[in-house]
Amino acid sequence: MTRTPPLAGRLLLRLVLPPREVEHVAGDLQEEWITVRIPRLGEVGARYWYLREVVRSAGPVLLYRLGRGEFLPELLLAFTLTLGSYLAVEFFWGLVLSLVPLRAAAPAPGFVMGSIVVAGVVAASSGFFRTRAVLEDGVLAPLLLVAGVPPAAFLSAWIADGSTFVPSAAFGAALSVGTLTGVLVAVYPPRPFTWRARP
Amino acid sequence: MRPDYFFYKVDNMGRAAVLGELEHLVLLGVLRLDEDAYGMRIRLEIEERTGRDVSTGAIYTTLDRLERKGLVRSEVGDPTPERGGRARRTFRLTGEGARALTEARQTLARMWSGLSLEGEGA
Repeated sequence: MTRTPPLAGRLLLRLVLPPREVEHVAGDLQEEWITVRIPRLGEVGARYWYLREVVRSAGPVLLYRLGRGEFLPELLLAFTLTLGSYLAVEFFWGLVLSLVPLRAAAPAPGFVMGSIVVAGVVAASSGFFRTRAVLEDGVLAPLLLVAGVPPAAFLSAWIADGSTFVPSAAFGAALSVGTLTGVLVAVYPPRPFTWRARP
Repeated sequence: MRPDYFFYKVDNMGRAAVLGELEHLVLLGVLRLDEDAYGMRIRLEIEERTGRDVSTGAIYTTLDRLERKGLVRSEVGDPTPERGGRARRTFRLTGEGARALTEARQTLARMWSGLSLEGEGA
């Protein structure tokens, strides 16, 4: 009989909670899981209970942390990243089209491509940092080793100081906003800003 | 000290904190469990006595809020095997927490004073 709570639940817990609380809350859940839920519900039922408990805890915890402004720097960063990339691409195309006679070429695909590249970079970064943040469980370490990332022991020590949550949340937020922007831009390509020099 | 906590303290100086319903229940759980008050036990205590299945996340956020208000204080215990080698964080009522509970009880008693519901006690 396995005595480890479901991996998905543990990972979600780690992503939702602030690092300083993960140990206590995960310990509470594991203790209840072993001492109360497995005897009452059986192994399968207890695993379902654990997952349900983590999922329904995620909402209150995230709302509470948002309300306390814990994600404010990350949200500002995400906003700046996405707005910055939007303005940069917009300005770039406006400048190009005002200087070079490319009006026959539709500017929208380039704009969309630029936005998608930005979203892709943000997504990759987010994936990396989030993976790194859950490495303490040791389960995903082989994947990173295959990808040529430094040994898990080194990364785990790096994580241990609890400082990874901020970048992971930042990139997570940026991923969300970036992806949304990419999709919106793909569906509704905006007209580029056209700058005209005075004659 | 965080700025929001400082302003909370100043705003509420001289009077007991007003408790929300879950805060009230959690504080009573902490009082009842005494030295054994930690997240899981508080949650089970509330479930057993009120029938309310409160999520672990809600208990955690409430305890965090109560600690920031100065109504409870926490300390970290030793790791145990059934917790997967993780430490336990136990909570104790502070003087201010006890005052808030007393105030809440007196407020309810004053509001109930002289009232009865139809069919009650029949």
